[in-house]
Amino acid sequence: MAISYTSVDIRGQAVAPIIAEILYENKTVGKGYVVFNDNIKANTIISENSIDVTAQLYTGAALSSSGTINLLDRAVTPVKLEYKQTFLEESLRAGRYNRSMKPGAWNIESNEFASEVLAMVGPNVSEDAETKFWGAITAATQTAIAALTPGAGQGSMTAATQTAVAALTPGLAGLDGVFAKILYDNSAVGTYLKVTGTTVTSSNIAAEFAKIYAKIPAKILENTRPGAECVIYAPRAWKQLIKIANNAVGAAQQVNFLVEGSGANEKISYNGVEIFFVPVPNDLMAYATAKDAISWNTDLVDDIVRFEVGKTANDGDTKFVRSIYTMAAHVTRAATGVLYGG
Amino acid sequence: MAKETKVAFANPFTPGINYKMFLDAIPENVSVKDYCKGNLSDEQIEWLENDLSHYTNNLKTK
Repeated sequence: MAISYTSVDIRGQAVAPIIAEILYENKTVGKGYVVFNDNIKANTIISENSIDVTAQLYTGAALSSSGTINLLDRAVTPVKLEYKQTFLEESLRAGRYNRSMKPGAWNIESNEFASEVLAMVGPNVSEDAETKFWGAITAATQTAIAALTPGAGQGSMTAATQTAVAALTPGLAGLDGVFAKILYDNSAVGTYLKVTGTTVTSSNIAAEFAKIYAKIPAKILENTRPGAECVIYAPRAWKQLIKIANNAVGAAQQVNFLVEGSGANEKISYNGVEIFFVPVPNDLMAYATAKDAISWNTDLVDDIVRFEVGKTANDGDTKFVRSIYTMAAHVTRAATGVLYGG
Repeated sequence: MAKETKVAFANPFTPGINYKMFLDAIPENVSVKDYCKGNLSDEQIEWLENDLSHYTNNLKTK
Protein backbone atom coordinates (compact mmCIF):
# COMPACT_ATOMS: atom_id res chain seq x y z
CA MET A 1 0.00 0.00 0.00
CA ALA A 2 1.13 3.48 -0.67
CA ILE A 3 0.83 4.84 2.85
CA SER A 4 4.14 4.82 4.64
CA TYR A 5 3.16 5.87 8.15
CA THR A 6 5.50 6.04 11.12
CA SER A 7 2.76 6.47 13.68
CA VAL A 8 2.52 6.92 17.41
CA ASP A 9 -0.57 5.48 19.08
CA ILE A 10 -2.54 8.52 20.10
CA ARG A 11 -3.23 8.84 23.80
CA GLY A 12 -3.50 12.57 24.41
CA GLN A 13 -3.29 15.63 22.20
CA ALA A 14 -1.76 16.16 18.79
CA VAL A 15 -0.49 19.52 17.62
CA ALA A 16 -3.01 20.85 15.15
CA PRO A 17 -0.90 21.67 12.10
CA ILE A 18 0.65 18.78 10.27
CA ILE A 19 4.05 19.84 9.05
CA ALA A 20 3.84 19.60 5.31
CA GLU A 21 6.75 19.11 2.97
CA ILE A 22 8.06 22.23 1.32
CA LEU A 23 7.43 22.29 -2.39
CA TYR A 24 8.47 24.54 -5.19
CA GLU A 25 5.59 26.68 -6.29
CA ASN A 26 4.92 26.04 -9.96
CA LYS A 27 5.72 29.56 -11.10
CA THR A 28 5.82 28.55 -14.74
CA VAL A 29 2.05 28.17 -14.52
CA GLY A 30 1.35 30.45 -11.57
CA LYS A 31 3.18 33.44 -12.95
CA GLY A 32 2.87 32.67 -16.62
CA TYR A 33 6.54 32.27 -17.47
CA VAL A 34 5.64 30.83 -20.89
CA VAL A 35 2.76 30.76 -23.34
CA PHE A 36 -0.06 28.32 -22.62
CA ASN A 37 -1.86 26.67 -25.50
CA ASP A 38 -4.74 24.75 -24.04
CA ASN A 39 -7.69 22.86 -25.42
CA ILE A 40 -5.30 20.62 -27.35
CA LYS A 41 -6.27 16.98 -27.54
CA ALA A 42 -3.78 15.87 -30.18
CA ASN A 43 -2.02 16.82 -33.37
CA THR A 44 -2.23 20.57 -33.13
CA ILE A 45 -0.17 22.57 -35.56
CA ILE A 46 2.07 25.34 -34.31
CA SER A 47 3.24 27.58 -37.12
CA GLU A 48 6.08 30.04 -37.46
CA ASN A 49 6.80 32.37 -40.30
CA SER A 50 9.44 34.83 -41.36
CA ILE A 51 9.88 36.86 -44.50
CA ASP A 52 13.19 37.81 -46.05
CA VAL A 53 12.78 40.93 -48.18
CA THR A 54 15.37 42.15 -50.65
CA ALA A 55 15.46 45.62 -52.15
CA GLN A 56 16.36 46.00 -55.81
CA LEU A 57 16.95 49.09 -57.85
CA TYR A 58 13.88 50.22 -59.70
CA THR A 59 14.24 49.87 -63.43
CA GLY A 60 10.70 50.17 -64.66
CA ALA A 61 11.04 46.74 -66.21
CA ALA A 62 9.78 43.49 -64.70
CA LEU A 63 12.20 42.46 -61.96
CA SER A 64 13.17 38.98 -60.96
CA SER A 65 11.68 37.82 -57.70
CA SER A 66 14.01 38.24 -54.74
CA GLY A 67 13.40 37.25 -51.13
CA THR A 68 11.77 34.32 -49.41
CA ILE A 69 8.60 33.70 -47.47
CA ASN A 70 9.48 31.08 -44.85
CA LEU A 71 6.77 29.00 -43.24
CA LEU A 72 7.25 26.27 -40.68
CA ASP A 73 4.55 24.02 -39.27
CA ARG A 74 5.13 21.61 -36.41
CA ALA A 75 2.59 19.14 -35.14
CA VAL A 76 2.32 18.97 -31.36
CA THR A 77 0.62 16.12 -29.57
CA PRO A 78 0.71 16.39 -25.80
CA VAL A 79 1.76 13.27 -23.90
CA LYS A 80 -0.87 12.01 -21.47
CA LEU A 81 0.42 11.27 -17.99
CA GLU A 82 -1.19 9.68 -14.98
CA TYR A 83 -0.24 9.47 -11.32
CA LYS A 84 -1.92 6.78 -9.28
CA GLN A 85 -1.47 5.49 -5.78
CA THR A 86 -3.64 3.15 -3.79
CA PHE A 87 -3.91 3.23 -0.02
CA LEU A 88 -5.85 1.73 2.84
CA GLU A 89 -6.80 4.13 5.62
CA GLU A 90 -6.90 1.25 8.10
CA SER A 91 -3.21 1.96 8.64
CA LEU A 92 -4.20 5.37 10.07
CA ARG A 93 -6.45 3.92 12.77
CA ALA A 94 -3.87 3.83 15.56
CA GLY A 95 -2.47 7.32 15.02
CA ARG A 96 -3.67 10.89 15.29
CA TYR A 97 -5.95 10.57 12.31
CA ASN A 98 -8.41 8.36 14.20
CA ARG A 99 -9.74 11.49 15.93
CA SER A 100 -11.46 12.56 12.75
CA MET A 101 -12.90 9.13 11.97
CA LYS A 102 -16.62 8.62 12.59
CA PRO A 103 -17.62 6.05 15.23
CA GLY A 104 -18.06 2.52 14.02
CA ALA A 105 -15.66 -0.12 12.81
CA TRP A 106 -16.78 0.46 9.27
CA ASN A 107 -15.52 4.00 9.35
CA ILE A 108 -11.82 4.51 8.71
CA GLU A 109 -12.07 7.67 6.65
CA SER A 110 -10.19 10.54 8.23
CA ASN A 111 -11.11 14.10 7.38
CA GLU A 112 -7.79 15.30 8.72
CA PHE A 113 -5.95 12.89 6.44
CA ALA A 114 -8.01 14.01 3.45
CA SER A 115 -7.66 17.73 4.05
CA GLU A 116 -4.10 17.87 5.30
CA VAL A 117 -2.33 15.01 3.56
CA LEU A 118 -4.20 13.95 0.44
CA ALA A 119 -4.68 17.60 -0.44
CA MET A 120 -0.95 17.76 -1.06
CA VAL A 121 -1.23 15.44 -4.06
CA GLY A 122 -2.20 18.36 -6.31
CA PRO A 123 0.75 20.60 -5.41
CA ASN A 124 3.12 17.64 -5.71
CA VAL A 125 1.85 16.78 -9.18
CA SER A 126 2.06 20.44 -10.16
CA GLU A 127 5.68 20.60 -9.02
CA ASP A 128 6.50 17.42 -10.90
CA ALA A 129 4.76 18.72 -14.03
CA GLU A 130 6.92 21.84 -13.98
CA THR A 131 10.07 19.75 -13.53
CA LYS A 132 9.07 17.58 -16.46
CA PHE A 133 8.12 20.57 -18.61
CA TRP A 134 11.62 22.02 -18.34
CA GLY A 135 13.81 19.00 -17.73
CA ALA A 136 12.31 15.81 -19.11
CA ILE A 137 14.33 13.91 -21.66
CA THR A 138 13.53 10.70 -23.45
CA ALA A 139 15.96 7.85 -23.85
CA ALA A 140 15.72 8.36 -27.62
CA THR A 141 16.82 12.00 -27.39
CA GLN A 142 19.57 11.08 -24.97
CA THR A 143 20.86 8.43 -27.39
CA ALA A 144 20.68 10.84 -30.32
CA ILE A 145 22.66 13.48 -28.41
CA ALA A 146 25.26 10.92 -27.38
CA ALA A 147 25.77 10.04 -31.03
CA LEU A 148 26.64 13.61 -32.06
CA THR A 149 30.21 14.57 -32.71
CA PRO A 150 30.72 17.50 -30.35
CA GLY A 151 32.49 20.75 -31.07
CA ALA A 152 33.11 24.16 -29.60
CA GLY A 153 31.67 26.24 -32.40
CA GLN A 154 28.19 27.43 -33.24
CA GLY A 155 26.12 24.56 -34.59
CA SER A 156 27.81 21.91 -32.47
CA MET A 157 27.11 20.74 -28.96
CA THR A 158 29.94 20.85 -26.45
CA ALA A 159 31.28 17.60 -25.07
CA ALA A 160 30.59 18.73 -21.49
CA THR A 161 26.91 19.13 -22.37
CA GLN A 162 26.86 15.68 -23.91
CA THR A 163 28.31 14.30 -20.69
CA ALA A 164 25.71 16.18 -18.63
CA VAL A 165 22.87 14.90 -20.82
CA ALA A 166 24.18 11.35 -20.57
CA ALA A 167 24.05 11.68 -16.78
CA LEU A 168 20.34 12.52 -16.78
CA THR A 169 17.80 9.84 -16.00
CA PRO A 170 15.63 9.44 -19.07
CA GLY A 171 11.94 9.79 -18.43
CA LEU A 172 8.72 8.72 -20.05
CA ALA A 173 8.61 7.96 -23.76
CA GLY A 174 7.67 10.87 -25.97
CA LEU A 175 8.13 13.53 -23.33
CA ASP A 176 11.02 15.89 -24.02
CA GLY A 177 11.11 19.01 -21.91
CA VAL A 178 12.09 22.50 -23.00
CA PHE A 179 15.82 22.07 -22.57
CA ALA A 180 15.85 18.71 -24.36
CA LYS A 181 13.96 20.37 -27.22
CA ILE A 182 16.39 23.27 -27.33
CA LEU A 183 19.35 20.90 -27.49
CA TYR A 184 17.94 18.46 -29.99
CA ASP A 185 14.75 18.86 -31.96
CA ASN A 186 13.30 17.60 -35.20
CA SER A 187 16.04 14.93 -35.49
CA ALA A 188 18.89 17.43 -35.40
CA VAL A 189 21.01 19.40 -32.99
CA GLY A 190 19.23 22.59 -31.95
CA THR A 191 19.72 25.78 -33.87
CA TYR A 192 20.31 27.81 -30.70
CA LEU A 193 22.83 30.61 -30.50
CA LYS A 194 25.58 29.04 -28.49
CA VAL A 195 27.44 30.43 -25.51
CA THR A 196 29.95 27.94 -24.16
CA GLY A 197 29.47 27.37 -20.48
CA THR A 198 31.58 26.65 -17.46
CA THR A 199 30.91 25.86 -13.81
CA VAL A 200 28.93 28.85 -12.63
CA THR A 201 29.85 30.24 -9.22
CA SER A 202 29.05 33.44 -7.36
CA SER A 203 32.40 34.77 -8.58
CA ASN A 204 31.80 34.31 -12.29
CA ILE A 205 28.01 34.46 -12.60
CA ALA A 206 27.98 38.13 -13.57
CA ALA A 207 30.59 37.51 -16.27
CA GLU A 208 28.69 34.49 -17.57
CA PHE A 209 25.45 36.49 -17.74
CA ALA A 210 27.32 39.16 -19.64
CA LYS A 211 28.18 36.52 -22.25
CA ILE A 212 24.53 35.49 -22.53
CA TYR A 213 23.38 39.10 -22.74
CA ALA A 214 25.94 39.97 -25.40
CA LYS A 215 24.75 37.10 -27.58
CA ILE A 216 21.04 37.98 -27.51
CA PRO A 217 19.99 39.34 -30.91
CA ALA A 218 19.33 43.06 -30.59
CA LYS A 219 15.88 42.74 -32.11
CA ILE A 220 14.87 40.27 -29.40
CA LEU A 221 16.13 42.65 -26.72
CA GLU A 222 14.42 45.61 -28.31
CA ASN A 223 11.08 43.88 -28.65
CA THR A 224 8.77 45.47 -26.09
CA ARG A 225 5.54 43.88 -27.25
CA PRO A 226 3.76 42.73 -24.07
CA GLY A 227 4.24 39.02 -23.59
CA ALA A 228 7.14 38.84 -26.00
CA GLU A 229 9.80 40.58 -23.92
CA CYS A 230 13.21 38.95 -23.73
CA VAL A 231 13.72 36.87 -20.59
CA ILE A 232 16.41 34.53 -19.33
CA TYR A 233 15.40 31.15 -17.96
CA ALA A 234 18.04 30.10 -15.43
CA PRO A 235 18.46 27.31 -12.88
CA ARG A 236 16.86 27.93 -9.50
CA ALA A 237 20.19 27.31 -7.80
CA TRP A 238 21.65 30.35 -9.55
CA LYS A 239 19.41 32.72 -7.63
CA GLN A 240 21.55 32.24 -4.54
CA LEU A 241 24.72 32.74 -6.56
CA ILE A 242 23.28 35.96 -7.96
CA LYS A 243 22.50 37.31 -4.53
CA ILE A 244 25.90 36.33 -3.19
CA ALA A 245 27.48 38.02 -6.21
CA ASN A 246 25.61 41.19 -5.34
CA ASN A 247 26.84 41.07 -1.76
CA ALA A 248 30.37 39.72 -1.91
CA VAL A 249 31.87 39.71 1.59
CA GLY A 250 34.51 42.36 2.07
CA ALA A 251 34.05 43.83 -1.35
CA ALA A 252 32.50 47.08 -2.38
CA GLN A 253 28.81 46.69 -3.16
CA GLN A 254 28.44 45.43 -6.72
CA VAL A 255 24.97 45.53 -8.13
CA ASN A 256 25.47 43.19 -11.06
CA PHE A 257 21.89 42.06 -10.90
CA LEU A 258 18.89 44.18 -10.00
CA VAL A 259 16.81 42.62 -7.24
CA GLU A 260 13.47 44.35 -6.73
CA GLY A 261 10.83 43.48 -4.16
CA SER A 262 10.92 40.44 -1.93
CA GLY A 263 9.13 37.19 -1.32
CA ALA A 264 6.45 36.37 -3.86
CA ASN A 265 6.92 39.74 -5.56
CA GLU A 266 10.65 39.47 -6.03
CA LYS A 267 11.94 40.27 -9.49
CA ILE A 268 15.54 39.78 -10.54
CA SER A 269 16.95 41.14 -13.76
CA TYR A 270 20.24 41.56 -15.57
CA ASN A 271 20.63 44.69 -17.68
CA GLY A 272 16.87 45.02 -17.79
CA VAL A 273 16.23 41.41 -18.83
CA GLU A 274 14.14 39.57 -16.26
CA ILE A 275 15.44 36.24 -15.04
CA PHE A 276 12.96 33.41 -14.45
CA PHE A 277 14.26 30.64 -12.23
CA VAL A 278 13.08 27.24 -13.39
CA PRO A 279 14.03 23.60 -12.82
CA VAL A 280 16.88 23.28 -15.33
CA PRO A 281 18.37 19.79 -15.51
CA ASN A 282 21.77 19.63 -13.79
CA ASP A 283 21.68 23.40 -13.12
CA LEU A 284 24.10 23.84 -16.03
CA MET A 285 22.18 25.68 -18.71
CA ALA A 286 20.32 28.94 -19.17
CA TYR A 287 18.24 30.11 -22.09
CA ALA A 288 17.46 33.62 -23.25
CA THR A 289 14.58 34.15 -25.62
CA ALA A 290 11.34 36.03 -26.16
CA LYS A 291 8.83 35.03 -23.51
CA ASP A 292 6.32 33.85 -26.10
CA ALA A 293 8.79 31.51 -27.79
CA ILE A 294 8.22 28.69 -25.31
CA SER A 295 4.83 27.09 -25.03
CA TRP A 296 3.18 24.69 -22.62
CA ASN A 297 0.71 22.73 -24.70
CA THR A 298 -2.03 20.86 -22.93
CA ASP A 299 -5.69 20.00 -22.80
CA LEU A 300 -6.48 22.02 -19.69
CA VAL A 301 -3.80 23.80 -17.66
CA ASP A 302 -5.68 23.23 -14.39
CA ASP A 303 -5.47 19.45 -14.87
CA ILE A 304 -2.13 19.44 -13.08
CA VAL A 305 -3.73 20.36 -9.76
CA ARG A 306 -6.81 18.16 -10.07
CA PHE A 307 -6.94 14.73 -8.52
CA GLU A 308 -9.60 12.20 -7.88
CA VAL A 309 -10.01 9.95 -4.83
CA GLY A 310 -12.23 6.89 -4.82
CA LYS A 311 -12.57 3.26 -3.86
CA THR A 312 -10.84 0.73 -6.09
CA ALA A 313 -13.70 -1.73 -5.49
CA ASN A 314 -16.96 -1.72 -3.60
CA ASP A 315 -16.17 -4.89 -1.69
CA GLY A 316 -13.01 -3.48 -0.10
CA ASP A 317 -11.74 -0.31 1.53
CA THR A 318 -8.64 0.25 -0.58
CA LYS A 319 -8.76 3.66 -2.22
CA PHE A 320 -6.96 5.29 -5.10
CA VAL A 321 -5.82 8.82 -5.77
CA ARG A 322 -5.27 9.72 -9.43
CA SER A 323 -4.17 12.73 -11.39
CA ILE A 324 -4.19 12.97 -15.16
CA TYR A 325 -2.92 15.68 -17.45
CA THR A 326 -1.38 16.12 -20.87
CA MET A 327 1.68 18.13 -21.72
CA ALA A 328 4.05 18.95 -24.54
CA ALA A 329 6.82 21.54 -24.48
CA HIS A 330 7.48 23.43 -27.66
CA VAL A 331 10.16 25.95 -28.56
CA THR A 332 9.65 28.34 -31.43
CA ARG A 333 12.09 30.80 -33.03
CA ALA A 334 14.81 28.46 -31.78
CA ALA A 335 17.46 30.09 -33.95
CA THR A 336 17.16 33.36 -32.04
CA GLY A 337 17.33 31.79 -28.58
CA VAL A 338 20.63 31.94 -26.71
CA LEU A 339 21.62 28.75 -24.92
CA TYR A 340 24.29 29.04 -22.27
CA GLY A 341 26.07 25.75 -21.74
CA GLY A 342 24.98 24.16 -24.99
CA MET B 1 65.97 22.49 -49.60
CA ALA B 2 62.70 20.94 -48.46
CA LYS B 3 59.65 22.93 -49.29
CA GLU B 4 57.82 24.16 -46.17
CA THR B 5 54.12 23.57 -46.23
CA LYS B 6 51.96 25.75 -44.02
CA VAL B 7 48.76 24.12 -42.87
CA ALA B 8 45.87 26.37 -41.89
CA PHE B 9 44.91 26.32 -38.23
CA ALA B 10 41.71 24.36 -37.64
CA ASN B 11 39.92 26.65 -35.23
CA PRO B 12 37.61 24.51 -33.10
CA PHE B 13 35.43 27.53 -32.36
CA THR B 14 34.63 27.94 -36.04
CA PRO B 15 31.16 26.69 -37.02
CA GLY B 16 31.39 23.41 -38.88
CA ILE B 17 34.58 22.20 -37.24
CA ASN B 18 33.82 19.46 -34.75
CA TYR B 19 36.26 17.88 -32.33
CA LYS B 20 37.06 14.96 -34.61
CA MET B 21 38.09 17.33 -37.39
CA PHE B 22 40.03 19.45 -34.94
CA LEU B 23 41.95 16.55 -33.39
CA ASP B 24 42.66 15.07 -36.82
CA ALA B 25 44.21 18.39 -37.84
CA ILE B 26 46.72 18.40 -34.99
CA PRO B 27 50.10 17.03 -36.12
CA GLU B 28 51.44 13.99 -34.32
CA ASN B 29 53.24 14.62 -31.01
CA VAL B 30 51.83 18.15 -30.76
CA SER B 31 49.65 18.90 -27.77
CA VAL B 32 46.33 20.72 -28.02
CA LYS B 33 47.84 23.56 -26.01
CA ASP B 34 50.85 23.93 -28.31
CA TYR B 35 48.72 23.65 -31.41
CA CYS B 36 46.37 26.38 -30.26
CA LYS B 37 48.97 28.73 -28.79
CA GLY B 38 48.95 32.01 -30.68
CA ASN B 39 45.64 31.23 -32.29
CA LEU B 40 43.35 31.11 -29.27
CA SER B 41 43.34 32.95 -25.96
CA ASP B 42 44.61 31.21 -22.81
CA GLU B 43 41.03 31.15 -21.50
CA GLN B 44 39.78 29.49 -24.70
CA ILE B 45 42.59 26.91 -24.61
CA GLU B 46 41.86 26.06 -20.99
CA TRP B 47 38.14 25.70 -21.73
CA LEU B 48 38.87 23.61 -24.83
CA GLU B 49 41.18 21.20 -23.01
CA ASN B 50 38.48 20.64 -20.40
CA ASP B 51 35.78 20.06 -23.00
CA LEU B 52 38.01 17.75 -25.02
CA SER B 53 38.58 15.65 -21.90
CA HIS B 54 34.81 15.02 -21.88
CA TYR B 55 34.98 14.11 -25.56
CA THR B 56 37.79 11.60 -25.15
CA ASN B 57 36.21 10.11 -22.04
CA ASN B 58 32.88 9.78 -23.82
CA LEU B 59 34.60 8.05 -26.74
CA LYS B 60 36.15 5.52 -24.36
CA THR B 61 32.78 4.61 -22.93
CA LYS B 62 31.07 4.20 -26.30
